[in-house]
Amino acid sequence: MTGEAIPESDEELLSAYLDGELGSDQRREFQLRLANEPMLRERLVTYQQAWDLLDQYPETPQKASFTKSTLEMAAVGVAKETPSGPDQVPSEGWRLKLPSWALGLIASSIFGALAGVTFRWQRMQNELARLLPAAHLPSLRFIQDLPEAEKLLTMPELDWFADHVDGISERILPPIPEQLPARRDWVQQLTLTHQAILWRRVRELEKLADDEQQEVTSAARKLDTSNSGDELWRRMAIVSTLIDSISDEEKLALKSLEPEKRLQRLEELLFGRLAVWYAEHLENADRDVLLPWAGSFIIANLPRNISRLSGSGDRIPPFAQEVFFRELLRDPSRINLVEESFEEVQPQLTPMAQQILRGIHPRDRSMIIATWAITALGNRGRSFDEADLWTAYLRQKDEDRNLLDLRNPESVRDTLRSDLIRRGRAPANRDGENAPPATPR
Amino acid sequence: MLRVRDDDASAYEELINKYQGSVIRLMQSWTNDRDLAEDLAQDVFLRVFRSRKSYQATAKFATWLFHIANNVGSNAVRDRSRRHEAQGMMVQDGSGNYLGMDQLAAAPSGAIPTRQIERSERARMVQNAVHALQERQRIALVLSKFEGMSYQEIADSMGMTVKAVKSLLSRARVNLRILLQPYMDEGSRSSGESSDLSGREQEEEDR
Repeated sequence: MTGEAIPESDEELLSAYLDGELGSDQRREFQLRLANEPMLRERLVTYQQAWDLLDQYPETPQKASFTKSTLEMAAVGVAKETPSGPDQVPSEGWRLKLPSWALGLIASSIFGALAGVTFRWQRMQNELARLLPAAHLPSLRFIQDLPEAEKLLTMPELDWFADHVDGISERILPPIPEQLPARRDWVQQLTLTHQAILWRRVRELEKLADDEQQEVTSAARKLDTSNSGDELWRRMAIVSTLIDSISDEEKLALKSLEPEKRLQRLEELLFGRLAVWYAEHLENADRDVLLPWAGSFIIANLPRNISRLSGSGDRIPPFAQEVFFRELLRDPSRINLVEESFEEVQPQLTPMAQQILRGIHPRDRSMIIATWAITALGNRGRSFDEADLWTAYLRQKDEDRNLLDLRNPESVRDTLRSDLIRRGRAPANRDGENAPPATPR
Repeated sequence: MLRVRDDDASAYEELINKYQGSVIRLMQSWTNDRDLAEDLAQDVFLRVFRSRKSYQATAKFATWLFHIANNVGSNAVRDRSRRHEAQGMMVQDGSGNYLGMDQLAAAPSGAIPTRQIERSERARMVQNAVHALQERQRIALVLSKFEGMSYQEIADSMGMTVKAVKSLLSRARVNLRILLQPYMDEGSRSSGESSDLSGREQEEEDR
């Protein structure tokens, strides 16, 4: 009965009535009709029921990180809008010769010099005064207490970062040293992020024309004659990254603190809360730098060379895998890279897996393929013959899927398997032929 | 907003906190992509900030905000279409296959459990039903249902007439009733309604 058609004009009246958009006369008139027309009344009930069902529409939780990043972006916009004062006008010569990011590197070099073993403070100040453009870059504008920055640069964590930057070329993160157990988690997070950022900066340096490289190097060496060029540049990248990580708002707040509290706060900002912030904002703030790191390696080896790769399979940090997954879902153009490999992957899958892969959305198919590839990387000698487990993963709501912690493979596997069992697509018994495959490590 | 106009940073923060959920939900309605929705919502708030000096308190703030949001959402969808990346608003069935709206409506009721369904599953199906609506119906519905906006306010924020909004919401209700029928307490959906829905959708597309 509810399926019977009613005039379109009545449907509009019903809708407007439920929305309280009828005038008083029109409303009275319509209520009379409702009293006398059962079909209209019944339709009204079903409309209301459907409308009420919308209360179950997933809520959008409020995120402090969203607010914070938006505020920061607005603040950056304000900073760009605000003209420099007369005493802050940079030297035209410097400004014209170097691109803005190169000026950033020069600014970085100032801080890099701070970390030198034979650091000469007075000389540093003189050089800083001479390099006016660098002094007015955002990274330096609000942190003028350089002695405190110098102390910061003696922190053991920073040395540790510096010692391991070369590890980028091996794409393997060394274990966190035992002397930093209390900060193990955030050091790991921060390291992963900064490794990627540093990777990009190194690439930028390499892209410089020879004369530009000489210019930047020369400016940097004037500030620190004790270190080799490689060491200095590494320091430049590290410190400028750290300083750039602090929002202008936070830098202003730092200025208002007593000197003795300032360093403590700076440390907290840099190595504590920022680590969390990076994790929360990963997909927004760092996707452009993390993807080249995580994605290029995976894509470059996917899937053509998988069988020829050596190693234990622990070469891609789980954190990077997660980033890669999210990136695949975010940017369809990158998915094409993976999709192109589908034909090559197919013969290696079971008929069931092939059927599943053909039936689903190409975007998700790519994700499964990527997952398969990573699994193959992480579990040498094993075949990925249960694509349905990962189909369960893909069937999760986005929100639920994001809750799955890919860094905890057992937990992911249990969750996905429960999902399959609940849907009657997998036996409750974990043993036997249908045991789930190992998840990516 | 008047405080934001006067460069009160805390007011801007309050504003973001108050409206972020609504704007993200609206952006999600445009894009059906949570991550992209957050990016676009951020863009909306930055546009609000950039336009703060020109804000005139002649209209309700939410209407102005959602007008900006709808422009951003509409542009994003248009850009995506230009890149030939638009997948359309597709809904998955229980096997991971993607269904169009007509297919969703015509799916056998056995494929959609009507009893003892888990809340999360139900929420997802409600979301799917909303996303299966025609774009403007969906936006009007979100503004009406979740933002409690009047027809006039919806019309202002969508750049349409009140009459058009009235028609959109009416059609949205008709379609929702069909799409959500398996979840409502009474009776099963009649087979004729799928074609009814298709016909109406076609009419709307033709307009």
